[in-house]
Amino acid sequence: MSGPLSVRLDPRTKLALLFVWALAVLFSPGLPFEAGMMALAVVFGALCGKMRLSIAMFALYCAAMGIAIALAQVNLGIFSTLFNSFFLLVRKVFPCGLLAAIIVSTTQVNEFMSAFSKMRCPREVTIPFAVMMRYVPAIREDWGYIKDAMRMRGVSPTLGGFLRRPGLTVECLYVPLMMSALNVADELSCASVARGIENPAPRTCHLHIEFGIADAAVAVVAAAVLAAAIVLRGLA
Amino acid sequence: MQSGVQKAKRGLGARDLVTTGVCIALYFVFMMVGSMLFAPNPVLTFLMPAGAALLTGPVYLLLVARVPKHGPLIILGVVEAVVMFVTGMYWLWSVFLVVLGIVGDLIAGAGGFRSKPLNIASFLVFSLNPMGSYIMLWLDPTGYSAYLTEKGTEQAYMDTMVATGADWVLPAMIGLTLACALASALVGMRMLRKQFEKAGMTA
Amino acid sequence: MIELCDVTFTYERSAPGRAAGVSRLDLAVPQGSCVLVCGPSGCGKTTVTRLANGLAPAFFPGALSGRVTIDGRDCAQMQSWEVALCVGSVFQNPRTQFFNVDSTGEMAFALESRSTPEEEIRKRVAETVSELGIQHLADRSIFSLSGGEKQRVAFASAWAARPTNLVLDEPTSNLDMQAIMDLRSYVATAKAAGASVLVAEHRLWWLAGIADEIVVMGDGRVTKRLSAQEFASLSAREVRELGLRVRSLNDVAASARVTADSQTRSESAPRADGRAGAGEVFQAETGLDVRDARAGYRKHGVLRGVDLSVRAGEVVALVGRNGAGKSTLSRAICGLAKGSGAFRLFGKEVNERERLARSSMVFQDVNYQLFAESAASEVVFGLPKDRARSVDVEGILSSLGLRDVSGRHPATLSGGQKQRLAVASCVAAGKDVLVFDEPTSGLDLESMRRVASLIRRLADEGRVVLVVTHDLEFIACACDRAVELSEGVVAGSYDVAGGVGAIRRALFVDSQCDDWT
Repeated sequence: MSGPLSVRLDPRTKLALLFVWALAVLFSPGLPFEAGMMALAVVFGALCGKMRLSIAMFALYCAAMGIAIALAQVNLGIFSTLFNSFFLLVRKVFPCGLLAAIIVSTTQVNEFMSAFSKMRCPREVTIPFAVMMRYVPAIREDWGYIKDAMRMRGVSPTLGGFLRRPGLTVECLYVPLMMSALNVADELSCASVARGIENPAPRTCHLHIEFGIADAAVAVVAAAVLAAAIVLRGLA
Repeated sequence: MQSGVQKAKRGLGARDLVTTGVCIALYFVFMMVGSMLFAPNPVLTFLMPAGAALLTGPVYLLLVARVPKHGPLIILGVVEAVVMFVTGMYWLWSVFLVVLGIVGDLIAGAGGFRSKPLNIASFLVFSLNPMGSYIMLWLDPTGYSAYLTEKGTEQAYMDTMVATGADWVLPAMIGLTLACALASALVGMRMLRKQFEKAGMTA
Repeated sequence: MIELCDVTFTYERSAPGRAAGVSRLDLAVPQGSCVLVCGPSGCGKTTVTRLANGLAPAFFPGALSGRVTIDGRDCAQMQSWEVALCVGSVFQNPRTQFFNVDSTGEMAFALESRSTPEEEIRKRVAETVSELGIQHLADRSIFSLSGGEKQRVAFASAWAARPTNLVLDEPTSNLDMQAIMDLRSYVATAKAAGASVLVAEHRLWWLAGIADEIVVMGDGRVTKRLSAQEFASLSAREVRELGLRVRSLNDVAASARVTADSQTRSESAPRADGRAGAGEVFQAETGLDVRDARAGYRKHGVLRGVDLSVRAGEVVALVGRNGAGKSTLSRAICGLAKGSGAFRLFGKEVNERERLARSSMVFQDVNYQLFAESAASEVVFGLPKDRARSVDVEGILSSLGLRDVSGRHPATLSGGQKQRLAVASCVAAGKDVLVFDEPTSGLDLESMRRVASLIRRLADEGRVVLVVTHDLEFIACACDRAVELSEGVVAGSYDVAGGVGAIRRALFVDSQCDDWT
């Protein structure tokens, strides 16, 4: 699942890193700081064996910022406001988004569950969260079948088809997806009860979860970034 | 044999939690699709809350109908809040998600989760959650423009915007979002009645 | 050790799953033995598995009387997770029993739930992987696994915790032959290791030499108990009279052909497009002709030049390994997959759009293609209004035995009814080409024969019918010919009338596997 160049981190470190990153972006003093955070996220991605994803996101980020800076040179009235807030969103979302993508794709559901369990997070959050992580990719699979079925019925699964026959398309879209979701929910909960998900003992994980040197290094970097964000903002 | 599933007449059992998770996944996907119709387009970015509200109604109402208990809507709010926060969205959005999740839970709960008008009202309120990232524009225009312009960038733009924009953009956004949410909820209610109740898939 | 003493169970009305209950049931699965519970759909065999793994009444509420004991402990005194400690379960649908996104994590799930130390989990998972010979399935994303591979992982995840009891509920319903053979060896392994194995199944042949007792059920009661020897000594006819599918693939003979039953044929559905008597006209004609079909994902070619020709009125089975290109070919024929090649329908060249309009697939999971709020409106769903009006909905539904359920919601129908409803919509839309994907998964003998006769009738009415299947018994019942796909090309074509031996080889079934004595 991850490349040859991969560092294993404690999932708790990863979660903490995500939160620190989100806070740092919030306090960030400006674009150069966020660009730096983006670069750090790319390095993190490379260390975790997600080189291609990181580079692609970085390229997209640079392109968006290029356009933003170019547009900032001209006055478009109210549109400038719209552009500004849009690019601000892009600016802030990318560093965190890349980090989240890297972490989600390198952490397994049972690592998260075990980490949540170690952090004494209630099952009411752990189980829905784990199921969500597992089910989002399955929706794409379902959608593939439903799209085929719609086309065979002469209903076009596109925006144009929606505009032509809105009622019908909406029904095609929601009914099988939601029916299938409810069935999956029933069978999945049945299977997980049969495999002891209700066991009150703290969940363990087949992967080694320990706060190691790599975690310490990541924690130091993250803390430094957050501190810098707050200090630089105060100075400005 | 005893199981949390049976004891959970009032609390949430494994089945309820898994169903909630599956519905959150669907909600998340529909919200993403709804926002993606608008969000990547700078001019239409303010339509994003409306786009998200337009697609998520049926899933929200299905969750209420399938697990008519206190909890699932709060979990929905909390899980979405975590996802939004860690992907770098403005922090007030996450706060809104949690708060509106609780409020939505209370509104729907007031009708025992079976009152159609209250369930719809609960969704209308919850659908305002993306306003969290825009609300500063209203409550604290100067603060928000400072946040937007990062000091030093053309203050003049922001002044025009705060002068012209804040007056109508926010109420318009709220109105449009509520309208979309209502449309979505009505479609969702019709679908629940026509399809899911008939199929015996609601609790 | 699983014991059911005088157990009666009725589901609460609101219970989902709508399975049949059981009454006055006695059953014992001693250590190191395997009991096979079989019988027609709705006989209560799934309920037996749910009682054994504690899901009934813990997960499926209902009224229970009698005693269920697991390893000597009364199930009623145990928590759901305590039962899970000593009973491993494998379910029918491999797509919906996975909690994880990666296969190794899935195998570790039960151990993680019971707080086993991580070194121990890794050791046990590694042992299980090598014991079952599934090294190639470790550390994979479940979305890259085929149904058969998922079911292998599902078995491994139940077996990794080394439970003293194993419960399998129709585990082979969605599997290809190779996966069934592997599952057979896994069950043998577990049995040899001293586990009590309880299997509820329609397919019986794969348990030859493994099952020690065969319990036949009907209407929630045991109708017959047989030892393996007694079962082996029954004649093929006696097995059929018990309503069971073949006991051994050697019993499958080409002469078992099912014909379109005359009763339904006489009132056969009027073609929606009004082409009366189309059957006779097209009988000898080439219905579908595919030349040099190529398709693939990115650079990896899935179809590398398929030539296939099917007469109208002919039923052709598509067989081959996973990844041989069966589903891509089906999608290409229906105009759903992008690709190249020449496609002719009844002599006329057709492009993708025309193929899409004139052909249709019936999925294995038919739930994806049911959209409407009642069976009657499902039939004409998606058709333009003027065309929908001209369709004889009543006639089509009654010709498929669905008249009584025309007002019901499709989701409330049985699996077989849903399948026939999907067929009804194809008939109403006047489709000429029908492709069935595994239409007999999880069906008992009677339902299987009903599907076979339905498929014969659809062909007799002048349609081209293709069936993607691994079910040898069904091929012998319903098909004229089997076409074997391998590596994206046609590797062979075998007439069913010429004997099923070649087809059996094409399905990769070892012959030594079905000796019951």
